[in-house]
Amino acid sequence: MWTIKSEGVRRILRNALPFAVMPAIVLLLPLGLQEQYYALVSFVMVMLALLLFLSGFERRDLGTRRMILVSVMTALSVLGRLLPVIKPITALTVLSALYLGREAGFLVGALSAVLSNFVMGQGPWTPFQMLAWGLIGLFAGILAKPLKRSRLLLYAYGFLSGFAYSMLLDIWTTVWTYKEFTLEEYLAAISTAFPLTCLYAVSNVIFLLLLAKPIGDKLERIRIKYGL
Amino acid sequence: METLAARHLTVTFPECKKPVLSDVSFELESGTFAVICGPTGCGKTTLLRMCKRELTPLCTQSGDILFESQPLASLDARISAGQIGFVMQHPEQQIVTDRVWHELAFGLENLGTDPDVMRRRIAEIASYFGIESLLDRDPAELSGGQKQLLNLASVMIMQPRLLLLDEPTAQLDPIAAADFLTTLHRLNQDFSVTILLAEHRLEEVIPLCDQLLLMERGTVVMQDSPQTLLAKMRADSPVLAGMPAAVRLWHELKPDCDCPLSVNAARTKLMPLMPQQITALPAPPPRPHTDPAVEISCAFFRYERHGRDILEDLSFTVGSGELYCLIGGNGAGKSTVLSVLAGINRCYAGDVRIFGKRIQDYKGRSLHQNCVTLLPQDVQTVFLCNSGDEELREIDRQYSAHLRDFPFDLTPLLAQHPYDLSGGEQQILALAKVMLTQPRLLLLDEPTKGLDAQSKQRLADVLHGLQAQGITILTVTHDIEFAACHADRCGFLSRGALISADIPQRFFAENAFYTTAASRISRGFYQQTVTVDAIVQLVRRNHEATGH
Amino acid sequence: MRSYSEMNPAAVTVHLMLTACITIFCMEPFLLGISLLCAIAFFIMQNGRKHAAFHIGAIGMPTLFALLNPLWNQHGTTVLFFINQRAYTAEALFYGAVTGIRLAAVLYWFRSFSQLMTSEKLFYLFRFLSPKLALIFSMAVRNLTLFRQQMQRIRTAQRGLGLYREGHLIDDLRGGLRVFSILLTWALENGIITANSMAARGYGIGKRSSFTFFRWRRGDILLLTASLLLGAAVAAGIASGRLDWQFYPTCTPAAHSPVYFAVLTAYFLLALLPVIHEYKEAMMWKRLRQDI
Ligand SMILES: Nc1ncnc2c1ncn2[C@@H]1O[C@H](COP(=O)(O)OP(=O)(O)OP(=O)(O)O)[C@@H](O)[C@H]1O
Ligand SMILES: Nc1ncnc2c1ncn2[C@@H]1O[C@H](COP(=O)(O)OP(=O)(O)OP(=O)(O)O)[C@@H](O)[C@H]1O
Ligand SMILES: [Mg+2]
Ligand SMILES: [Mg+2]
Repeated sequence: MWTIKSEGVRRILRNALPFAVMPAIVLLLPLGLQEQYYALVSFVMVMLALLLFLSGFERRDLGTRRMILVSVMTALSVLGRLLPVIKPITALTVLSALYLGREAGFLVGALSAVLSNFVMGQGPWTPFQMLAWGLIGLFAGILAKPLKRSRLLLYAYGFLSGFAYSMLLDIWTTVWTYKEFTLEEYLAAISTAFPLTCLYAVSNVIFLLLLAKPIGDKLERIRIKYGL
Repeated sequence: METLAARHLTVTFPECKKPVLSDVSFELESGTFAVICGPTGCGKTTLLRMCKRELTPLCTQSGDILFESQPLASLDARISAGQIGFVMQHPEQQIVTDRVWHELAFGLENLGTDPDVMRRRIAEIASYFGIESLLDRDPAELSGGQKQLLNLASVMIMQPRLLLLDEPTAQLDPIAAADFLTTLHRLNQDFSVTILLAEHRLEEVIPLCDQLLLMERGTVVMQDSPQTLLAKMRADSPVLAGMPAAVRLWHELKPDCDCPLSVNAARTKLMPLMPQQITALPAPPPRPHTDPAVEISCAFFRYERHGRDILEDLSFTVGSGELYCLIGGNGAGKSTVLSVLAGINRCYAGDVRIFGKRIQDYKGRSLHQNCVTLLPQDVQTVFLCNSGDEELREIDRQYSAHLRDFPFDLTPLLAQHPYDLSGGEQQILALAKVMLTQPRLLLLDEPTKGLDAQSKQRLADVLHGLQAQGITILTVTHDIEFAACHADRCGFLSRGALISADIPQRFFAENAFYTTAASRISRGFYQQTVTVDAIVQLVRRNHEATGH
Repeated sequence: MRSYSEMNPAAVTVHLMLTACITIFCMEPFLLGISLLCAIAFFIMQNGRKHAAFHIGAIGMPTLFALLNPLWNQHGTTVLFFINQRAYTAEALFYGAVTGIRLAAVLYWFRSFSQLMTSEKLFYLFRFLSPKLALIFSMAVRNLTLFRQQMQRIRTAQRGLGLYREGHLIDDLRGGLRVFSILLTWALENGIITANSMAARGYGIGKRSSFTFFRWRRGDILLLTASLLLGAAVAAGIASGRLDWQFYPTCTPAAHSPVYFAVLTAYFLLALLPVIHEYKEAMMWKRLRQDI
């Protein structure tokens, strides 16, 4: 069987990998490759960042129930992503983060991205989407207190995260299509995507408007009923 | 030594004033097969869950539960998980993985069992339960009975000392249910597993068990061997109505023999003592002919284009004002028939008429406006709101006026969230909701599951009341007793076709397996006595004739 | 006698990921062409003549990219014509076509990959890195189908109750929202029951072992080594810069050195491995049958 038996070795590998490999790649790659440098480095960096986050959560004990709730919320947001044009993924990620914690938020975001891409089309952009949605969830979890207190802040967060998501993904679009990264091309990519980004941001707010109360109530009920 | 014992257990849910369990005490010797029975909502599920630490609901608790003389709370996690097995009511909900073999391996993986040992245990258990051919399947594709067997196997693979089961046969057809109970009995005999089972369907299980626990309003009122407990029970006790036919016969007739528990005991000990001058009741008057409410002729239906026919050349009619029961095995297509009649699925060939009008001709939603209503098998799909009150209000704002004659007490259900109710209570609330739509044709999919005998009687009263208003009722049920007692006609569905249909007296008198215990008991002694009442009536007539 | 899809998921993953990643990070038109053709061959081998819509979309992409790229890309010297006083150059057209082919090839590879990786295989893979995440992931996959079915059931149950009025759009929309809302309640409640069922069987009490039917056989190790060797060779070739094309200002192909052809051949072999494997197995089967 092909598994690393010792938990200790696994942990060391998980932690050492990102920290040792990331700088190494940044330093060494340019020596070999000139042309694809940006695309490859950004891809590898994002992969490693993802690994870093995910391995962090592997160590934390979420509790069985919370873990299953994460899988439930993930499945729901994937179902939602199959709607035409506008997607409730951000809204559901943010709400999960608010009620189930920041780890849960990250996981719901990142896993929804991979899972829904099995239908929407998997590709090299998947890790970027995972990271983007994961971070949206993570920060929502960190900001849970104020976001729960004020609806207005929550909507603002939804709106801004639409832009943040687009901007992160445009980094990839730029390096992938132009093989290099210049501010000019990045701005061009952002401006082409601008109408869609706006639609995203607005749809996030709409979904939060519609879903914040019912989903919040339900998650709260479950939390009370089962003492999470 | 006792495997399980409760000492003065009292349990209160948060935000509830009254305790659900109060001062419960009982003991189970190791190797006992015990059955808990009691009315809906009396706390059976709660008691079972209190016996399994991982499933204990959020509550305040006083008193102790001991597993092999150790308090449950101080048990080692591995012992608590591995030595106490739990099988729940809904087979689907406890399946965790998407392969049968993985489901079996799951518990062992959690205990850190060596993969080679696991391989052996999986192979063993799969052949013991006869599910070897299913190992590579997705559990979602299995039939209800197979799923429940898988659940039992995936618990038994951890070799528990105590097995707790909560209405495990509620969704199974009579044959699958009997098979499941036989397997349980065999486990009990072969491995001396202590079994505690909560059930409403007692006909098959009582002859197998050796302890009976009777619960009422949150406490165990009696515990004894079924022989003694049933013999000393008062004849007017409401619990008796749910007991096996042999027991009820004995209580009604009081013959000079021990209380029989099984069909066999009743046939050999009780029936020979009965007078047999008159062997048949006068035939019931035929129902006056009425216009058909439902006519299906030569209907074919399938779910997928390249799948198999689920309904195959199905034809039958239900007269208006009739109470028609459809029975048949798991997967025979009963729910599918109802979905076709409710306009949810459409046949690809054949003719379906509701009140004489072809079902396609009901345009838009006219079919559902006070015409046809379906109570689905999974009643949770009926609920949309956060409390019972909102649920009913959704259909009719003045619902209390319409439900004045409803024999169930709904008040405790109204404030609760529908998902917090016990299985039987959910069934009742869903029934109330369906009644409010005031249909002319009522389709019920297994309305009696999870209900105790008394509630079933009340349900029958509701249905007869509706019938008196001219409403047609088509119900699907695994509860043969219910069908025999209350139906005007019964139909037997097998592989999507109606094999036979008749009035219950003739229908059940001819069936060998799909028949009531009363019919099996009286066969050869009396003719066409398919209910306990019929046998009792016949015996009384005999006594009158001979002048006793 | 195993088909490619039945081989050890880890070997399959390494092979497909290498093939796809090289495609992602390379801009050599011939290599990309080989990649696309092999990807299509592999996809058809898996699916036969199904998924016509996917083919049309994926093949249309290069054309679209080719036609559109010159519109916002002004590099290149060979002007074909002007649109709005902006030059439409042959180099940009060619560059767009190459990008399109690359995207199409990547799409094909990933599509085949997602088809091959059933949830139990993914579980097997992820478990290596993270058993917990693997479990969440596989539960989420299972939930997807469960929720879809339950949504359908709730919808039909509500229809059967006659809750919705005729031709009332608002009523329908509100109904849809309510169905989603109750699906959520059901999903959460059901999730808790599943979690209970897991806890009841000892989930989370300590170190887990894991059981799997997947093993390493000789064929798997062969596949793994072959893909690693070929992949390394191709990557080294690309890194050496011998495959670099110059697209702007004029299109200059890479020099035709022996290394160039060797790398292309190596990649061709790598991408064709599944097809070769399948062919070999088919021949072996035939021979076995004839020997009887
Ligand atoms: N989590 C809960 N919170 C509040 N009340 C509850 C909860 N769970 C159950 N109850 C109530 O406790 C009572 C006992 O429920 P329980 O499920 O134990 O009944 P039961 O005997 O198993 O009934 P049935 O035969 O219908 O399954 C019911 O009235 C139910 O409404
Ligand atoms: N939505 C569906 N899609 C495909 N097949 C289905 C669907 N629903 C049911 N079936 C299949 O149709 C057959 C009949 O199912 P149905 O639910 O009507 O059986 P049933 O008689 O009601 O069984 P039970 O007593 O278990 O409720 C089964 O083999 C089932 O697998
Ligand atoms: Mg119960
Ligand atoms: Mg059914």
